[in-house]
Amino acid sequence: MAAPGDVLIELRDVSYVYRKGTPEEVRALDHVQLAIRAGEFVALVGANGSGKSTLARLLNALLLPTEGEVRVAGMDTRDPRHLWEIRRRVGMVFQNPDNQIVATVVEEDVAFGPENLGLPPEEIARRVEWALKVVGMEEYRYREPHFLSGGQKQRVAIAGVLAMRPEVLVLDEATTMLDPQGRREVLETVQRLREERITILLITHDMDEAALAERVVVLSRGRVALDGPPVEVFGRAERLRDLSLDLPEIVSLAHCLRRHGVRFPSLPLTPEALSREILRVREGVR
Amino acid sequence: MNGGPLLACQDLTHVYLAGTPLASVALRGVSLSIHRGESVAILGPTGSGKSTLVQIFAGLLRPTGGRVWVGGVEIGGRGVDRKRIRQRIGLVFQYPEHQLFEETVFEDVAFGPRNLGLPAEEVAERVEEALTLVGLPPEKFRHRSPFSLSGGEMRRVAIAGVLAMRPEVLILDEPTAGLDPQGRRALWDLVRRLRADRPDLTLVLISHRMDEVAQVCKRVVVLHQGQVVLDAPVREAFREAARLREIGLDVPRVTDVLLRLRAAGLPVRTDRLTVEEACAEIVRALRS
Repeated sequence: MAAPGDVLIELRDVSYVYRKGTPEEVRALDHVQLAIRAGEFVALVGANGSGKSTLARLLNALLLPTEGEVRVAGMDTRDPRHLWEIRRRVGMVFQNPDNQIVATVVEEDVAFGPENLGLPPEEIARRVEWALKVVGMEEYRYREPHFLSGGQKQRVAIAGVLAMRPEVLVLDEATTMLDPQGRREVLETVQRLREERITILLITHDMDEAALAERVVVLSRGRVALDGPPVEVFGRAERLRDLSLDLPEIVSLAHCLRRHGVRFPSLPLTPEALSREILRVREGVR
Repeated sequence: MNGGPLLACQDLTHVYLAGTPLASVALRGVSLSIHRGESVAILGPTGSGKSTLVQIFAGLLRPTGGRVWVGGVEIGGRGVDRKRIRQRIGLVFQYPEHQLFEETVFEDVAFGPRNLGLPAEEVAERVEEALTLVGLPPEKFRHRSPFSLSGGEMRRVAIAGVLAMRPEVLILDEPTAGLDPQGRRALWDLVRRLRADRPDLTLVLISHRMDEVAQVCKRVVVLHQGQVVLDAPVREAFREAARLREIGLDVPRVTDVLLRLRAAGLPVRTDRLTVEEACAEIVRALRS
């Protein structure tokens, strides 16, 4: 396993072109450079068609780059010898919880991947137990996935990926189809995965979700338009508007207050932080 | 109908798989009336009964108990002309673009009116009208394949298909689910324009995002575990934000800030709906 801080995923001058050589050719990614280090929590945002999902699919060799190269722990995704090792290391969870569950009992679903690896039964049992615990679904191990809520299904899908002991978890709009409760459950699970030192790539439309990450990468027309900590990226309101992206609501409110002369030492990203800052301003006024 | 509500129900209950071990209660004694031209948001967490309620109003589901009226006509029992109800009540399901199937946008929107047995000219007229209402210029879109369109455009085609039936009530079930921020904004613009163009079209909107419904609806009905727990004008509903959060609804983040400030003793009103309103309110409180 990569040590914290090592480059785990690297895109070197990567382009991806759909239907290349036809009149409907679309350049989804255009000379992208990106390195993600082990243990990072990165949010990837961008409008529809900006190349987010294409990028995700390049990471575990579901797609291969048209130009440039993608490396996972040093392994080139184009090399078929590394295919299974790359897919084990880069786990993906997709949008629709109903499309990702294969078994009729929760624990069997989680065991599906490790069983396919041909691991001994004790090891499989250990992994299933651990994965269900991390996502907080131990109580549901004998249930039918069919009867679970959307958020619970997504957590089972995450557990299934975790049981493969991946280094990176890619969530490709994994909260888009969930209600607020389900969304919260999945995001809390993501926070817990950080304690397991799993690298997270969270692909989302929701800027408030992106603000939870320690780094935000903004894609626009297949290129990296902004890349930095959330305070920095969301500090650039004009630029984000030009890219037709929303600011997180809290950041919009903070910008508005600033325009009215309320001063913050740094940009607050959460309701807690913003209200704390406002109350501090009030103390200052007194 | 003169003066009475367009949609009404009384003590409505619905149990799925009634009489089996898997029976689950979706609605428990819901009473509600909605008048012509109203815009009502139905909010509630997953499993609160929102979709069941609108399917009953749309004549797609017969309730297991209680009474329902559309335009004063009771529709709960047997022997009701359900086709007629479905014509009056246009229900747009979640992810309606999954139900597009024709080769051209025109054909897809024409499907419903044609099934009514209308003459070809009237069908064409309704298709043009519906496409214009949803902001897809007919001359540009009528011959295109629905599958060559963007997700947001496909959704508009699906909504046009329902509008082409000229319903009295338009019910939208989570109309922005899965759209990106730009697509969401465009869809709300469309709904607002539709309200302006068709003031007597009654709008019922299912959502779990309070901030979005506040832009288009004047009244909020909150369902929780199959019961109405709040039925109030939108601003009043926002005052109850703390309670709504308890039942699992998302409170807009600006409301969250206002609630925290108020709890800490800063005298702010919590019924401010937008970033600008909240901003002005906080500035006012800081200066007073």
